[in-house]
Parts: sequence; C-alpha cells; structure tokens
Amino acid sequence: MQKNVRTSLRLELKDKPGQLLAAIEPISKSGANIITISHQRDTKSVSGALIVDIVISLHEARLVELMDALRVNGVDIVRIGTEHLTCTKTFILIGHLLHTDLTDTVNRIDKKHIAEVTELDIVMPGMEEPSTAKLTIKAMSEVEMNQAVTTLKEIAVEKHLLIINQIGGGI
Amino acid sequence: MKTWNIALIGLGSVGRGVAKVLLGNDQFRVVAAADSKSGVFDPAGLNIEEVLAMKKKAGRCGDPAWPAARIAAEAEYDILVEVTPTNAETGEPALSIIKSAIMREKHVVTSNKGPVSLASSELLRLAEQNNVGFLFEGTVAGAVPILRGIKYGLAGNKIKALYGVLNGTCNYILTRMEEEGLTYVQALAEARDLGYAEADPTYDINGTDAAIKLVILANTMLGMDVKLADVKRTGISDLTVDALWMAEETGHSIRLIASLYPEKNLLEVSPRLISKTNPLVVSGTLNAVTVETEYAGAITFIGRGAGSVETASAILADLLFIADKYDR
Repeated sequence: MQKNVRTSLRLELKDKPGQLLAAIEPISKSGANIITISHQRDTKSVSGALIVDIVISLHEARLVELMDALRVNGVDIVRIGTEHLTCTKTFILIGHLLHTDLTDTVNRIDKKHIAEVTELDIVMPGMEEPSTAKLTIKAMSEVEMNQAVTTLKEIAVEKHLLIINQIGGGI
Repeated sequence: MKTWNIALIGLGSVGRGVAKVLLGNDQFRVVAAADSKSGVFDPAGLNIEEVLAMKKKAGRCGDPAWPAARIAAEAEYDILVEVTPTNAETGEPALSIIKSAIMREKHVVTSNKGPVSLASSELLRLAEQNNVGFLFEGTVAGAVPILRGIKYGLAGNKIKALYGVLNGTCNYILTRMEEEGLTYVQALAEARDLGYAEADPTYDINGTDAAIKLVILANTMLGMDVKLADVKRTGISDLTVDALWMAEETGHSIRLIASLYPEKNLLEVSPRLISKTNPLVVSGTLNAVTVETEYAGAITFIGRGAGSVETASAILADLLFIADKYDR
C-alpha cells in the first residue's frame, strides 16, 4: 500500500469571489487530507494574485492528478515542496544552557511534524560562564510557531535564560 | 512681531543648548533662569552668556533666594522651558514647577521625561483648562520630531504598532560590541569615557529609559493609559559577544528594541534579533522608530536621540508652535 506524504503547495488565486473554493474543491475530491491552510489577504504576489499556502497529506501517485485539476480550475501552483514546516524563526538564548538540561529544553519544544528544533549552535566560553546558543525552530504555521514560542518563553523563565526574539523584516 | 519671554529652568547640557539656540532667534528672550540652587531674572532680558559664565565660576547662576520653584511661581514670563534631569519615580521637583506655571496661565515646554511619563493626562488637561500650551517633543528621541510626526504628520492614521531604538547609550554599546568584538563591560566603559553613558547608567542599560519614552508615546499619542510598571523590560547587560556574532552569521544585529502594540495592550523593551537590512539598525547613538499605520504603511524616523543642541532643536520647535498657535 502506498503511504501518504505531506506536501506543501503555494497557490496563487485571482482576487475575486469563489477562488478559494476553486482551490479547495479539487483537493478535497482527490482524497487529500488538508493539514493547514494559510491565507493572508494582505500578502499578494507581484501580479496582484492572492497567495494561499496549503499543506496536504496525499498518496504520492495522486499528486500529478491533483495539480492538473487545480490548473483546470484556474489556480496557479507556484511552489511545491515536501517541506511541511514552512514557518521558520531563529532565537538566541543566553544562560546556563547545559546546567539546565539542554536536551529537556529541545524536547519540550519538539513536537514531531508540528514544530521542530532544526538547528542548534552553542558556544561555551567556560564551565561557570553563561553559554550562548542559536536555535532555529520550524513549524507548520504561525499558530504552531506561537505555541512553540510560548513554550520556549516558559522554559526561559524557569531556567533563567535570556531569550532574544526576532522582530521585523528586512527591506 | 511679538517677543516671547522665556523662563529657563535647568542650566545643564540641554539648558545650555537652549540658551545657544535662542541666541539665534529674536522672537524669544530669556528673562529668567534657574539651576538646582538658585535663580536670576531681568524683565529686560538676561545676558545668558554672563549667567552661564557666573554658574561656571560660582557653581550657581544667581540668587539662592530665588530657586526654580519661586522663579516659576513669581517671575514674569510667557513660556516656562523646563529642562532639568528626569526623576522617574516622582517627577519632582519639575512636576510641581510645571503645574504652578500652568496654573498661572503660562505655557510650558519640557524635555523632562519624569513629569510627562507620570502625569501627562493631568498636565494636558490643566493646560487646556488654562488655555496654554504644554509641549514635550524633546522627551522622546531628542531631535527627532516623532511626537509631532505622529500627531500631525500621520494624523488620521490608526497606529497598529510602534517599535524602535529609543536609547542611544544601549545602541552605542551594542554597535561597538558588534563592530569591534568588545565585551559588554568594555563597550560600557568606552561609552562612559565618551560621555554617552552617565556615571550611573542603570536606567539606560536595564531598559527603563526606553520604557519611559514608550509610556509617553502610548499615553500622549496613542490614547492609552499605561504606567512604567506595565512595560515588560529586559536590559542588555547579560548579552554576550557570542550572541552578536551568531546574529551576524545570519545577517542580523541585536538591538534594544522598545515595542508597542496598542490593540494587544503590549509594551516591551528587550534585546531583539533584527535583520541588518531593517532601517532600525542604526549605528552609534542614533535613535530610530518605525510606526506601522493604517494607510501610510510603515514610516521610520531616524535621527539624533540626545545631545545638547539636538534636544534644544525639539524645544525650539515647541516654542515656535506656541508662538504660532497662541497670540499672546
């Protein structure tokens, strides 16, 4: 039996009524399980189309079929990925990271397929001095990311870690 | 053209800047001045250079029988310019001095964060009742016209978020740690040597100074009602050079960012990772504030957040605003 795989699709929809349905209907008919849909009305492509990020779980063999059905419905597929953790955030932590059980810190944030610590760099100047770590979390969407960040903040209070969170974007 | 008589309270760095700036403007005349120990006045106008020379020589500018409070309450003037150091706990003695001036129907311009962060709504109401101006552009981001920029420049726009660098001392320290690999302690020592950090820099480095400015912005520009205790504060003293170096690896800097989200009632000052291409990543003692608005999108103000003549620039703008609006 073929297994389901997670696939992320970035779709571009025309900014007119009924378009979200035009995208969701073929997905639903294909038998795919929708994991997340992220649709931000403020974010538009250069051409003015609305961008919708969808993560689905579907038999690999049926993916091509689904893509054809979407195109027939006038939905453009601009990106396909097997990466389902589409939301990324980087943090810097300062404190006694090893003395306070680093494995526990990572394990509490890690939730398989939902939010994961994908990168951890740590610098330790000396046994008694605070160490500094760069931690990258990837999550399925903003919602799961916020949950992971809340957990991280709780850990920071409990273990007296300074957590440096990101703000804003670039130009 | 009418000449406006000024009572200048405070003859420190900002007071000297104001004196200098007003010498180049014949619309205003300093008729009274006071430092922390004494005061002096002359209805015909003071020779401010002589007053400053006297203060330098004798340690006080005038007669101890005429302290600042008495100058404010009894001398004749049109506008009180109050530029004494900030007292974050009580706002005094500036708060009482400002009140007594407003009660006498005198306009007040100040760069003192204490009274404004503690009692802005009371003071503004009092000013309105007495039909006088109470302006304080210099309290936030020094020379940068952030208050007037929001109130008039962005009038009608709902402010969705406001965040930025409001403390030049911390920004200087972080810039130096990043550029030269100095430790926090080394960078702070350098900032002190250059006069960018005070003898006791606690309020700067623990985020209190930036938090006070955030409170002023929240209460006077965004219609909020918050206190210093409502601002979540984390300072920069625990930052390591490694942290800045790790940030750099991914194209980021670390800056002490004051942020304000009116809808969530969220006020915070903390070190944040921020992309080096973000306009808020300014170097040295500069200040920078981004205001996210409903219609205008994001607007960023950048400029000198402290300094003698720089703060005096904000005070001069307030004085000219009063001269323009009140014809007396």
